[in-house]
Amino acid sequence: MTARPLRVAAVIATVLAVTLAIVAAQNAAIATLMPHLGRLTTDFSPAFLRRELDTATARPRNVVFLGDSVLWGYRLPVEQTAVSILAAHGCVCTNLAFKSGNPPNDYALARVFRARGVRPRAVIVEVNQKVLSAADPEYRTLHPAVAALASPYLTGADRAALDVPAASGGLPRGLDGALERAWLLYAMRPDIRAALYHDDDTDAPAPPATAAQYEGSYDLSPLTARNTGVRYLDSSVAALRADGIPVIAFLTPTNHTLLRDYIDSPAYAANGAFLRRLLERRGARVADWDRAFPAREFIDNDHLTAAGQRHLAALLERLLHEARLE
Amino acid sequence: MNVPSFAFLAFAAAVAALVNVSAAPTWRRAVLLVANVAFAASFSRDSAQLAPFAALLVAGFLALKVLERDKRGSVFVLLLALQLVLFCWLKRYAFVPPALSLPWAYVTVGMSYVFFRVLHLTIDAYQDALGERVGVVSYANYTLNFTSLVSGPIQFYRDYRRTETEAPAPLTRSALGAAAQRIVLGFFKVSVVSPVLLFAHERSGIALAAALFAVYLYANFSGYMDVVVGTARFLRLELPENFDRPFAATGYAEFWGRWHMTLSMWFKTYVYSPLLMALMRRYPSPAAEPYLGVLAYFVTFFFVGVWHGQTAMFLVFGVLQGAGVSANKLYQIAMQRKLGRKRYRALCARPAYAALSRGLTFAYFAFTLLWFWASSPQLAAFGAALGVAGAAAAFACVAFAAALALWLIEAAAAWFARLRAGGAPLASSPYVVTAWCTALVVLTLSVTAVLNAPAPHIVYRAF
Repeated sequence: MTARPLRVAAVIATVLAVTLAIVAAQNAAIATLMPHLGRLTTDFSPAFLRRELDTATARPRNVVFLGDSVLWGYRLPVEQTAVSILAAHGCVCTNLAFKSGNPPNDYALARVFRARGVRPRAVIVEVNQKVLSAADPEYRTLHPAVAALASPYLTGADRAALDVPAASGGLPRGLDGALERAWLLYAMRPDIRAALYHDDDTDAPAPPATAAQYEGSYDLSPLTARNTGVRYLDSSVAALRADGIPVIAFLTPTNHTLLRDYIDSPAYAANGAFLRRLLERRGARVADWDRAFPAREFIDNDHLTAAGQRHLAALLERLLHEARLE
Repeated sequence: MNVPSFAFLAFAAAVAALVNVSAAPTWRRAVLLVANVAFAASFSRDSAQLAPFAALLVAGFLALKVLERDKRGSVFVLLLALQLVLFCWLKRYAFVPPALSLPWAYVTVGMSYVFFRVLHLTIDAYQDALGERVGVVSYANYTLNFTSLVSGPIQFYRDYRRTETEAPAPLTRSALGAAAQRIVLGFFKVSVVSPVLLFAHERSGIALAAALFAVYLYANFSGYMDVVVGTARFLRLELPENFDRPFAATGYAEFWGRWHMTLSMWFKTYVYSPLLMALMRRYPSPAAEPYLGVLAYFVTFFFVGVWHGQTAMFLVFGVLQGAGVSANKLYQIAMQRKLGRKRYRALCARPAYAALSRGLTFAYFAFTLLWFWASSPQLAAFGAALGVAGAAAAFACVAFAAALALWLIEAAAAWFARLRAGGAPLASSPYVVTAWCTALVVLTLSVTAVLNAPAPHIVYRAF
């Protein structure tokens, strides 16, 4: 009578033991072997971001870079990006820019820095006028991984002002969360995929950019403190400075040759001046590189070619030197 | 619906639950008919895209009905030719002018495998070898059997009917356990082994890429077979095996007796045997008999190779398959003449000779597959980069490495088979089987989670 239940229990124990052994082996292998990729992956996971932040915390004299796809290195392999070039020149730096980066994400990351004890030697912030467009909801949307880490530190007002995309894993949220906590391979699956299959946009050549593509992309209405992007840019710099972290901001190089019909206006220049004043008032050092790059160094409106990234790296290196942060 | 996929498993589970509600043949046939038609219809919601496939089936059924009544040779040849033309036209073979093709995209998934079944029915109906008149439900269930529609196996009608209606396979605990184990193994091969091998193949140099592709193809196709054979067993259907450790073959003729066995059997039945008989009638000399066999082998495996694709590249692939098998047969004839049957058999039994033969067989198959996966410019680039001496050296390296690897695998398998626990073989212990299957499931889920891609592509689905 007792033989059958005992056997079923043994089978269940076998299943559990094998499952736990494989998961533990995978966790150990990923913790040891998963490479640092030089930049965040396109769909980076909270686990990957946490790992990068832990690395940043552990490194003395670390300089952290925040920004969008320009600093991330859209359509370029990671080794051709400005931050990788700086790293190759000996700069201890962590590139936390990502493709849909924007001031609300910078603010959320600043809050996470404080909570997790990340104290970089300086934070370099890329400020792109395009992502301050009030018309585009993408620019008030948090990346899901940033949102996951920053969630405990966001206020009710932040939640009301910002969009947090729902996870689309297909599993119930509770099960998804439990799996992510227990199983590193599951938690870091998009990053492992990116590490295996490369996470750049270099497979297909970029289509030639036309000015008409960007019609409406730049919101030329006067920037004010009521603009969500401006508010969070101001808050993120203030939060970093309040923690005693030096902040260097640069205005994103923009292809004025391509976009002159749309942005070469007093309104655009006034908005640039407004941003400089705002950042300087908060104690940030500001470099205005909006017009510093020739048209040949752009892929499109603001994304840089490999030569453009080298130019950006040279400018950043000089800036770090002037700030005695190299 | 992709096979294998979790959606396919869910569909098959629902059909298995329904079909096993009653053992009545009418119930089984009705449930299977609905399932088979629903599965075939799942490939498109547009009836125009399904119409050509349906036309091929209707043409096959009409030919079958005509030949059940009219046994004239001329009628048989005409109907056979019409079906061949219809198939080549619908499959858009390269020799069919594009202007003649239907001007819309339509479903061709599994069309080759269905066509083999239809031809088998046509020929056997003419030869009165079916043993019964085939009704429309039996015809639809046999040709559209959802467990083998996408990429086979190619089952003969009487074998299908046996477990469909006459004597469904018993649902014992051990049989279902073995079927479940096969499904798990199949998913592992398709979802873990084949993507890993494909990943490595795409990043390797020519010799390693060739070797990896051969193993990839085996993992991909045999994994699919494991899933469908295991799934069918839950429906109390028995599908024929398509693989019998093909890389253990010590000759190319033996290889094709172990690789895609149902295709080889079909060609043996309907091409090799009739052709050999015809040649022996035409040239009735005992001395010529072995060479006529070699010729029949060449023709048969030429067609086996050509079947794999619609372009001229596959003519070369066909020639290489025919040449491989017939050269192997010629070698056997020559060696038996030189050494005598007994001494040649003793030579073949020597471990080193057998290992070398396995390595050469593997290398030949792997290198002929270049015409299967590489484009013409790639082949030209390989040729230019390697030259004749380089190609020969690459072939020798692959043959030697394969001989060594296959010998190690055989030795490890033999060692594991000898292990015993409590007086019984360890491999048959339910705990070892449970641990093995759990490991495969966890690894399959791991790779599925990382790849986050649709169900893996089955290479043979394209044929």
